[in-house]
Amino acid sequence: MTIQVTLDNEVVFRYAEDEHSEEDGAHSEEADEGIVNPVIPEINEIFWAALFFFALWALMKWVLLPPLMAGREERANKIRAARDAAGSVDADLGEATSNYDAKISAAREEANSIVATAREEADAHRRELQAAADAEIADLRASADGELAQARANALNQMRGDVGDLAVDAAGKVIGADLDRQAQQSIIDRVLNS
Amino acid sequence: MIFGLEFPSIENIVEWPNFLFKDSELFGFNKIGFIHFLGLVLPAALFFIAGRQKGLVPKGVRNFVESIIDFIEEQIILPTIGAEGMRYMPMLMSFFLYIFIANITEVIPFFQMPATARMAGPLVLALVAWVAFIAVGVKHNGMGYFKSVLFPSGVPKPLYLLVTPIELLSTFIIRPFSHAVRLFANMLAGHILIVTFAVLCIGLWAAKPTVIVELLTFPGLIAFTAFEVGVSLIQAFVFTILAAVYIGLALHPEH
Amino acid sequence: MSIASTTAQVLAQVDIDADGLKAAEGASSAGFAYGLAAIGPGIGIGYLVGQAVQAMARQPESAGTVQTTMFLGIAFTEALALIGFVVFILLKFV
Repeated sequence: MTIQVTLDNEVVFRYAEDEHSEEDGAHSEEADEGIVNPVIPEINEIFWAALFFFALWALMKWVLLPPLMAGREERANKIRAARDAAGSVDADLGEATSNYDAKISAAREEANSIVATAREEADAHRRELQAAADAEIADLRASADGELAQARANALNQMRGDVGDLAVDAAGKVIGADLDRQAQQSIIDRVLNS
Repeated sequence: MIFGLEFPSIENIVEWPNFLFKDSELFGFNKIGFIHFLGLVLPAALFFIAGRQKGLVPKGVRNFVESIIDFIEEQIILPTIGAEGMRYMPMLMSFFLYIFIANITEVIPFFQMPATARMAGPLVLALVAWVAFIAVGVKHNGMGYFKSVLFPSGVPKPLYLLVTPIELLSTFIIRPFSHAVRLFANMLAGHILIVTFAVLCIGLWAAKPTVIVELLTFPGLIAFTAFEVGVSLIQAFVFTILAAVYIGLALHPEH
Repeated sequence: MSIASTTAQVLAQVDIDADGLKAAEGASSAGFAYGLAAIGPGIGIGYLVGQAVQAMARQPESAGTVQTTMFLGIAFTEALALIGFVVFILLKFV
């Protein structure tokens, strides 16, 4: 298509009609009829479009895509493997953590039970000691009481003798006569016992 | 006639003379054929360079190519077919790149012609998708595929009189044509739009340069060129995802 | 230019040939065909995209799925307008 502008500012489009109809063999028949249908496909264009499309499809299928898809697959596998590895490490970590927690709690329980038994033992021991001490104290108190009673009895007996002697002597001196010791003794005992 | 300008007739904006095998009706090689040739060579070269790169971490060309593969996988295959659709990756990848190259030449200088604005390319691709989804359906479901499509379960028996012809038409006859026409008409419309604005720009510039700015034709041309870049990408995506949807439906016809 | 001369010109053009008549009818019906075919899909795509935007705004995490489905819906809806466009091409240029 060429464009010419005349001096009067008129625009003239000149199309290469003649060449066109001469060169395009498929088209010349239609041009003779004067009707060109732009919707009906031309056989030569169908041929080349099909040829090149099938060539591209075959190349894509067998030559071009396989290495790229293999590369993508490889990368995806690697990422998946790395993710799985990370996942297993995570699992290990979780397991170790739970093990650790279990151990800690077991140890704590054990410590608690040890403390409890120790406390029980200590309590029992203390109770025993207390009982022993109580018994000893009771014994000591009993023996002390006995000794005390003995001492008092002794002292009483001694005092009884001394007081008798003294009273007999004093009465003898007062009345100037020997009093019968034996006879007076019964009177003194009666006085002291009353 | 637009503003007194002669608009080029349709055959002048979509038909191209052969420059190889000029006299052959079957092998005539014109600009459309050359664009389709680029649609083969450019992706092949890109993927070949990317495929030769070794190492686990992609970079440069390989990174780019792998992002295309990821796009096809995540946006097209997984939502429509599922993980088992990965084996159709070569076909869908070929669809996407071949159509995208054929579309994007609409805005590439010295081409300025989407190869998909000719019916030939879209028709071939749609027929490939048609054969592919029927083959997938028959391969995975046997002859029960046709039964499950034509006589869907859960429909009262008398309604088959109505449902079966509709399903036959819509699935096996209209589908490849609507699939092809969707791409073809979009690109042809875009091409005509850009040609219209370009003709306006040229004509008005020749008449009086400031008119272009006054009529906003040149900004309009730029805006529509940018718009057509997006349309090229989306139409390649839509064609590919529709092929994937058809394959997914053939794989699990009960859905 | 008087009315008489205009009428004369119109009368002179009455005997337009059959091809011209067909082309004129084709051109005008092509415009109608595309215009009518664009109404439904225009409303449909607008509604569809609006709903998709609403869905994406409500659940931004599912924006990818919604977008894919939206493109599918647009593709199916748009087919009607595109068939209208093909009819336009056929009427206008064939």
